[in-house]
Amino acid sequence: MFFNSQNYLIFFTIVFVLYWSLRSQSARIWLLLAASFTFYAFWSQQLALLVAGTTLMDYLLARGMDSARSQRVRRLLLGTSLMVNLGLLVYFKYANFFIDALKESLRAAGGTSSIPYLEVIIPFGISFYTFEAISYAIDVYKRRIAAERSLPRFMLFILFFPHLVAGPIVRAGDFLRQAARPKRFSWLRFQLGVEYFLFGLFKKMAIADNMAVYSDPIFADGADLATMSTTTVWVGVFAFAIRIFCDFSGYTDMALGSAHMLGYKLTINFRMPYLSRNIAEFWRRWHISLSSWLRDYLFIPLGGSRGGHLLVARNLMITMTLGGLWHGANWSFIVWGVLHGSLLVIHRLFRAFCEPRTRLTALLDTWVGHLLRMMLTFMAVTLCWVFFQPSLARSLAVFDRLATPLAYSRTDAMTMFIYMAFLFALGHLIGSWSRYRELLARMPSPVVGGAYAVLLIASLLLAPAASKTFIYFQF
Amino acid sequence: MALRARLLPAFRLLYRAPRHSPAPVAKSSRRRRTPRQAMIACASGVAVYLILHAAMVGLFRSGTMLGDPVFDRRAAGLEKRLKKYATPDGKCIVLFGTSRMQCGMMGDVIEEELRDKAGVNAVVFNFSRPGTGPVAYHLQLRRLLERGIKPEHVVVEVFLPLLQRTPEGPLFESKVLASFRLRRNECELAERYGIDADVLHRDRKAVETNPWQNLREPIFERLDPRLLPDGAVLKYCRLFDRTGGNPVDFSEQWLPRIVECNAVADQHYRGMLSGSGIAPEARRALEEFVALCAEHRIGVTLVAMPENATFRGMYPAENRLAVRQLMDHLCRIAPAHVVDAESWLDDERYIDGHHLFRAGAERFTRRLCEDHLIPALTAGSGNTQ
Repeated sequence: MFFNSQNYLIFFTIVFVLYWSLRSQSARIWLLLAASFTFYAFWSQQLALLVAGTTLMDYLLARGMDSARSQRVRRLLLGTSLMVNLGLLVYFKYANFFIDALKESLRAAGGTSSIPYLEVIIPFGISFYTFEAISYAIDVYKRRIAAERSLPRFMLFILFFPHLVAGPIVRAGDFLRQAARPKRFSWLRFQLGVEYFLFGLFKKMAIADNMAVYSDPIFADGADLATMSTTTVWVGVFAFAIRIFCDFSGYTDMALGSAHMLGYKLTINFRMPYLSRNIAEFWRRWHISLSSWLRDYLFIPLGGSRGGHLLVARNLMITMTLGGLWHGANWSFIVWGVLHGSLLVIHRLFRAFCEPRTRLTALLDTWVGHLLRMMLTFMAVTLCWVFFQPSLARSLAVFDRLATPLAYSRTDAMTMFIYMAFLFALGHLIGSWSRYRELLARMPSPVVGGAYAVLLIASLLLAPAASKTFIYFQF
Repeated sequence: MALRARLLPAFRLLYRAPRHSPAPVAKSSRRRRTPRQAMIACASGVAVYLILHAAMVGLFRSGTMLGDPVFDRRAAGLEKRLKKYATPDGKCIVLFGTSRMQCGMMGDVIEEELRDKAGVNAVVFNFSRPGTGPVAYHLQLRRLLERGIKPEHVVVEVFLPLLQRTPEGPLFESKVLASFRLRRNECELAERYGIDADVLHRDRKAVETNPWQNLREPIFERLDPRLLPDGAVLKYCRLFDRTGGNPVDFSEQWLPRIVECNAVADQHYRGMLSGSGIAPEARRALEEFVALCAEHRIGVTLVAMPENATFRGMYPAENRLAVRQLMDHLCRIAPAHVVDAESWLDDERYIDGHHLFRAGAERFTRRLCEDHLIPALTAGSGNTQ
């Protein structure tokens, strides 16, 4: 059940009406829990039970940690929680990747292996809810938060359907506080939710799905890159950069909108990332819930920015490589992570180089400097996206093709690409304009309502006949 | 140095650092909406959506704007040309066929040939569309007559796969008839030729439930057909020149694709051409089409379009004979001319064995005029194969 499907609209409407017709907060929590379980069970009932089972275990372990006085017991409980959560993640998501790597290594060494591949279905959203559970366990262990006493509230923290499948990765402290608070229906909040949802729908259906028409043929297995013009391949790569942003941020907006309509506020995940002036800023604006998770639970424990360049570089490389691996059990995602890690290290070194050079710093801080830095960052990120694919061989082939102009060129229809890229750029510019919200608030309400209707109609009208699944659902 | 000293402040002014770097977060507005305003915004959003939805369904039901924009644009194009070029003794010639005729027969060449070689002033318009057959020709002719356009002559393509049934049952062209957005009386006509009524009515129902997604094709066809996300071939077929055709220019870029196109044509048509013969519904549709032409005193030329040797080789002898016999049979119902142009051109004229490049189209059109259309238009009816 995708957020942009009719099924979700019906499902959400029923949940919404029932939710606000209930008076008791605990009844509402139970309703949301049941709805979330149903939402997940649409894909797989067994996996829904698995998710519920691990959540129950996390709840019990955290309670144990909270009440235990001995540090050793607490550490043991934390270790168990991490082992089980990471063990399940590795089993479902990475086992076959490691088996494959082992087989390849043995083959390279001249040996043979009869280790069979595991026949497992990866539970949807496992990477997201595992990280939520881990952060909760660590926060309870470090006594940043107290263990949640209410089982339904805790289960809702993990299973809440708007963020269950593809985030944003919420922190227990933020969510549980909201779950405990009694809620009253607010038109303001409802309107905000509608606004988020409609923007997300437009990003997904009108922009991301249309960009897929240009990017999919480039990255599809078996596509013959030799018959494509260099322009087509470049357009496909740019289309993918736009698509992945609109697809994921569109999903997040719909999740945020759904949550707002039910009285919950989830973490913002994107802040116009393609306007970043350097790669470090990009990671402060892109998939914020993941990057902040990696910062808090991996980069800082590793030593963070303390120490010399070499140490920080090591920390960055480890964090980003694991961040890449988090996305998918494939060498291409690891390469993607390594590339981003390297870019962050280069940026750090360049920043250190610029610091004593005031004229260079001043030059980089001009309008032209900002623009060039934005363009450079966007180009670097776009080229890295080439590796954000399930096949490393394919990514390398695309990379090779980007650098090899062919005499033969096929002109494909670019109209939709141009229109959508323009809309995308316009959206980024308007979004980064600090006063647009104020302007929106000054508009007469019927005009705002009319704009919502137009946005919905545009989403339906511009969407290609075949809708694409959300890219981040595979993670 | 002096120049530099003078220019530097200007340079600094031009490229000075922005006072505010792009804000990562939109600042919260000072003026906030009230709950009442929020409620009005949501309610008016629903109201506007419902009004626009109803308006769209109304437009669709009336069949005025969103019926069949491809036909409407063509009919409007023909009307415009008639108004501009028609003379009292002039002729209006309409071409009906598939994509093969859309790129293979050139209206402007026919006009030129008739004017230069027979002194006939004609306005020609190509109504050919991909995947269409006798039911579509019949419907389009009726629509033209309803609009008050009565051609003096029609040139009709006869192509075996479009006279056959699909494995699912109805005629092959039933797949494209949905894009014709048939009106209720037209649905009845289509049903008479075995087109599944359920499919036609289901399509109407889908439009009324979600007009935006189901009418996106006609809407975009009106706004900008290049926005349609279909394959390049379909897009190309929706675009047409001032006489309704769309001849394809040959260029070096086509060379690597021709083999691929031939393979696709082979895969697509081999089974159809060697399959079962002509469906009775298709035969009836053609008979009634020819009879309708006779009733309105419209001359008819039936054409088997040029094909290369490989493509021609895909027909078994009995199927070729069946097509030939059908054309002869139609000539007995009403005065019509039969043109068998299958082997008129050499093999390098084709994109994929049966769609012509511009040069081939021009050559074929000139010969068709010289050998058949001029005698037919100047001397009346008769079999001029």
